[in-house]
Amino acid sequence: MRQVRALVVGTLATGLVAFVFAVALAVVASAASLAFDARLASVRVVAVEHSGNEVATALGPGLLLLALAGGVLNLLAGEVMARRR
Amino acid sequence: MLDADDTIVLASGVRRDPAMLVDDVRCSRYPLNATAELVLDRAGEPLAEAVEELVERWGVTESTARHDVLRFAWTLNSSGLVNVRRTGPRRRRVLAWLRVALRTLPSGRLPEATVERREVDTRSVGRAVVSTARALGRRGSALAAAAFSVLCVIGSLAGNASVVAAAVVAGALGAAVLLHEGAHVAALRGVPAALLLVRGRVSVVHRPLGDSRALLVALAGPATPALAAAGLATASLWTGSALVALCACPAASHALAATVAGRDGRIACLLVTARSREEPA
Repeated sequence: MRQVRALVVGTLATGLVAFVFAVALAVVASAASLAFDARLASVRVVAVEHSGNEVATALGPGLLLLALAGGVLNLLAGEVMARRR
Repeated sequence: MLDADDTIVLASGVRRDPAMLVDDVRCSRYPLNATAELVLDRAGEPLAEAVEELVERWGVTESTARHDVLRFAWTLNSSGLVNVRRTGPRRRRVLAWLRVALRTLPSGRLPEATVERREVDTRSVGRAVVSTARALGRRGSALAAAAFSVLCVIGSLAGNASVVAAAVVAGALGAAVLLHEGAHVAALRGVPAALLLVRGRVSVVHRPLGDSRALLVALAGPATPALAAAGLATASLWTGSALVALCACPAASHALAATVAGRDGRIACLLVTARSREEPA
């Protein structure tokens, strides 16, 4: 039960933080007319592309990977804490 | 760090019974011996009065009586049972604090701060939010003011200072803290609760709760500002407003309090029992 909670809560919390910060980065970059493509290994996290007068913002599956990584990290940290008690 | 000029007063939700101190918020009772009763009988008067009475009644030396009274008052305050009212000259207090700080500095710690217990109203969600905002308003404003100063300095160094942007983001930071604690208190609807404030740290005390209610109370705090942040971020995608997107960031970081790095997360992940949450900070 503890492990499931740690994994779910960690995944949701990290996913939410990653989503908000990725959106903020993309919106600020768009406002400043900057283009970028942030990737985790080869998986896209967030990208902003300019073509002519159009700006395209893309959130990629890297966000899900980040969220899952956060969940696993939370689970591992929770296990270490539980064993030290 | 207390002084004989200071006074103690029973915190809201704490009352005296014969030979007993009762905390109605935590549903706890603490037995009192004769000395403890003597000190509490003089609540509202300078602690020096209790020291004098102790010397007269039991013939102990003044330094022993003073040490015992101050130590007992400190224990009560650390447990959030009494609030401390400072009455001595501010200059003397600052000097005493600096003396203690010099001693504790090598260990990398500041002198222990007193605990302030503030009442919150949990009869309805609205009352919970308003009473929390009233209790933490000054702290939230101070945090926002500090953040505003830092953001202005960073903006100036980066050569792109925007006072409006700094003010809005700093305001969002302060509001997120109020939202976090307000959500904890609102989730405690119908359960008597109080806030314990120690320096920048805030904790909510209440009676023991069942597992599911404890989970709800623990997660309500981090989740509320984080979900508000997700809403703001989505809105910024539609509107293209960088200011709205930046406002969402400090509120989103509250989600990390739901991981085991934060106390709320440790409760949610069953690493700290709900009972421990009621223990004083």
